[in-house]
Amino acid sequence: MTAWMEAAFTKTYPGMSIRGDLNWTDRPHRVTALFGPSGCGKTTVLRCLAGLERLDAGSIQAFGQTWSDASQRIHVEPQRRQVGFLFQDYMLFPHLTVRDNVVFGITAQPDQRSRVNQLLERFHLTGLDRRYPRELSGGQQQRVALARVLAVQPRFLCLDEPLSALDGPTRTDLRIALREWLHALQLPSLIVSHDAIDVQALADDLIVMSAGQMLQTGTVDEVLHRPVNLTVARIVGFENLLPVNVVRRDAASLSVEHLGWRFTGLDQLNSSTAATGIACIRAEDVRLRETPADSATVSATILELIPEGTMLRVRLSLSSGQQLQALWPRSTLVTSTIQPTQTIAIELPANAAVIVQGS
Amino acid sequence: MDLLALRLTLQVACCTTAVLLVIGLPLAHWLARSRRSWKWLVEAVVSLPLVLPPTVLGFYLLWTTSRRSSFGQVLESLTGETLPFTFLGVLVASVIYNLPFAVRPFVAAFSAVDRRLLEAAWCLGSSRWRTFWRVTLPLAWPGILSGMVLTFAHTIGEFGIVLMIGGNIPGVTRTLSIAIYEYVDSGNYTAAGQTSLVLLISAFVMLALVHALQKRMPQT
Repeated sequence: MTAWMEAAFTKTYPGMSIRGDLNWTDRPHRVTALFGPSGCGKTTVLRCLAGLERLDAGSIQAFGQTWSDASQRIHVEPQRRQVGFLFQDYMLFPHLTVRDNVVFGITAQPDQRSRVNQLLERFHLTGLDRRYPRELSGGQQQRVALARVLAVQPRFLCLDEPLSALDGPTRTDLRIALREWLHALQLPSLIVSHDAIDVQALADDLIVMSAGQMLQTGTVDEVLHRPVNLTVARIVGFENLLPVNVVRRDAASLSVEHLGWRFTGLDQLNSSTAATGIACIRAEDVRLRETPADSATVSATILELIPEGTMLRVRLSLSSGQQLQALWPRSTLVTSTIQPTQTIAIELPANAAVIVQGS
Repeated sequence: MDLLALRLTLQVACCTTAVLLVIGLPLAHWLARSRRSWKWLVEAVVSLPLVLPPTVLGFYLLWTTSRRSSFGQVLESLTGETLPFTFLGVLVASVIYNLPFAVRPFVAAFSAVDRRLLEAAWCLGSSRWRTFWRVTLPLAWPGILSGMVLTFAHTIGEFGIVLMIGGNIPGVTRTLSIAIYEYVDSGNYTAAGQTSLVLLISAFVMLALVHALQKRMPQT
């Protein structure tokens, strides 16, 4: 199957080179998230695709056209790409009303009025069409921005941190609404985000970026649960990184040990001979037991109990000096019985850890 | 009060503002958006009249456009007259001298328009020309207007450069500032006082206008 988007390019800034590598063939309506820490180059990739940046090397082919080619000095202007770009702060035109913002991209089309009315209705903006952006809430502004982008019937959507301008309950509501819209639109979409919750709620596929490089690509579940290396594990939120020795290799998993504590993990070492590695463990997978330690568990001293909303983060120290974190729903943990300085046994479910190479 | 001088002064101020709007807007737009490394050189040339004494600028203008210079001779063969001591000469001098008073506020106004708004317009299919008229200009308008008012007010008060290039010919180059100078020189303090008061009041009105416009600068 031919790719509808094939991009391999470099954009260089002083002190940083950003490399984009995309090859999308099947199911073009999927939502892909570009995930990574702030300043890693996610937005630049989006801007290159939209034609807002010129490439320093490489090319972008999309929908059977060459959009950019650095070697041939080809650069199709953003006006001719039909990329719907939703900016981080929405970038509504402050001097135009809601209706005029939505109409802005529609030029000389006979059914303009009815289409704009449909969009205003779809995004619940009908009563707000004469207002100016400064008179709207964050959520309303986002809806206007989306309606404005969709008015020009884009072939591809780019969303730059679509929820970062919001917080609290509004963010949760908008996340749910955006998820519904993205699924209903059936448009290929690329979302930039540095929030794992947003990514899980909105995207089908995930690309992890760090320092200008795309480190791992796959479905959201695949990338979040099987990081290919230590950097990706850190970025996707594995809080516990424990040095381990490999004890036994099975087809599907590795048996490892850390100072006598044995557990199994998914093999991402990419080496059949490596004797050591790093076990990446999510805090929510660390289980606490108030019974004495055996071979499947290890004893740890509780350092601190930190409430996090409905969860409780427990900071622990192993006898090796290595620190671990556990995250448990407060309702399932009898907090009155565990206290700092107390010794407790901890265990891991089978294959909860991912074993990667040390850096 | 010399009404002929008042009319001439207003003519010079209106023409200077109009000419600077035409040449200043594209120049300012380029200065606000360009990333060229040699942009500072253009900025320095535009700002030169701010630090150069008007008489120096007037002298160079007189020297380059007089009948004795080759440039002046070419100019005379093309237009049929030399620039010094004509209305056109005063206008050219005034435009050059007021360049920073118009261009700098224009640049500030264009720079205050968030570039991402322009990018949003481009992604919606809007050409650069349409984006300029539909987004940049409406948002930069208060700043542009304030530049125009400053230019107008500053032209009314010009003295040194007008005297150097235009001299003191009633109805042709004798503006209000030169009239005041002549009133004082001849001991006519009443006329000097009346004319000065007119200029003082107009300067205050202009400044109030600039202040009001600056408060309306776009906040995006």
